[in-house]
Amino acid sequence: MHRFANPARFQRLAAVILPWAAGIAVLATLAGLWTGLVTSPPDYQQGDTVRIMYVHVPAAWMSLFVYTTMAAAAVAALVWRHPLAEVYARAAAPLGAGFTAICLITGSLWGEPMWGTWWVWDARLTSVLILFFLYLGFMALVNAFDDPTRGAKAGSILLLVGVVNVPIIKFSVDWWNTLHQPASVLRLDGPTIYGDMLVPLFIMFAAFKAYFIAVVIVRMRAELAARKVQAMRLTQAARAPELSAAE
Amino acid sequence: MSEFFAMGGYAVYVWGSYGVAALVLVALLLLSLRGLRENETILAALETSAPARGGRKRRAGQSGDGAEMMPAYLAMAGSDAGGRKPGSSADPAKGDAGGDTGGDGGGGGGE
Repeated sequence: MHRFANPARFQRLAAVILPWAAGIAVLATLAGLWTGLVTSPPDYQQGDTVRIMYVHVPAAWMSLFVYTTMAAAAVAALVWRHPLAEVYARAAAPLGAGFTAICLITGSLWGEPMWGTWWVWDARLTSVLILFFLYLGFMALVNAFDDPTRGAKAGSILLLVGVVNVPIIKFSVDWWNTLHQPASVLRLDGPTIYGDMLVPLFIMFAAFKAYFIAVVIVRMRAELAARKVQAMRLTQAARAPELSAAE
Repeated sequence: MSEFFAMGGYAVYVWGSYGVAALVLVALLLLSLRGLRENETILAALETSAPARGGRKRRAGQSGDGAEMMPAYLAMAGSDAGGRKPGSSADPAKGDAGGDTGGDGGGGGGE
């Protein structure tokens, strides 16, 4: 009845990883808040608004990371029909949308004091907004079909089409004239940020990553339980006529 | 201390950013935990109300490790996976694929 690749192995692995991920998320969040808000210096140009970076940039990295893993899962779902891949993509989508929303809102809150505007339609901001809509579109699409298999397939195709947006976001600040500043951490010639600011940045990134791993495990478990419920209901419905015929 | 909260005059922007991030992440966490609890409650109810035909499966499930970490559906799913041939993906019942309209609607709707 199930063609789960091996949910039992996933559950065993998840049970080991979950407490570690949750613990690291809590500790790294506390350390990130302390270093980001208290011990790191204000920027010589931007003052204390630079502290927004410690939320904004990790959220932006996570929004791209989550989408890329979902697209990889879509390949696994379409090519190898790996059922956990679909479960993963569905579980990760709301989290990716959440990170993208955090990125957009904190960027707006940073842009208003520093650029003098909440929003501009430049290439970086617009392409991230499209990423947000891709997440929402995926979540709507997989639930839009009566047959969930078709929904999952359509969602996987959307993920693969949308993956073209990932390099566009990454290189948008180089390809076009944008109000958004160019990359200052992931550069070929090394980071151009002061070291004391890199520490909270990477700690917060670790916190977001651990948070994502913990919550996506919770969501995948919920999804597997929901599928099990559906399968049991189908079995019961199929068995009901047999029982009445036997009597 | 008040200097710390003033954030050099940018208090609204700095605290607003951290507040929004906390709000989104905590809301997603709570919704996800609620979704898991709801689905596992329904599953437990179904499994107690329909124990028939489960004898072989339950024995297979209980041989697994870490019973306290392992919800009941895992035992069932695991034995299903083990008892089926690799080539059965063409199974017309498609029980696995029929999976998530019920439970996921609850989780997704809140977001």
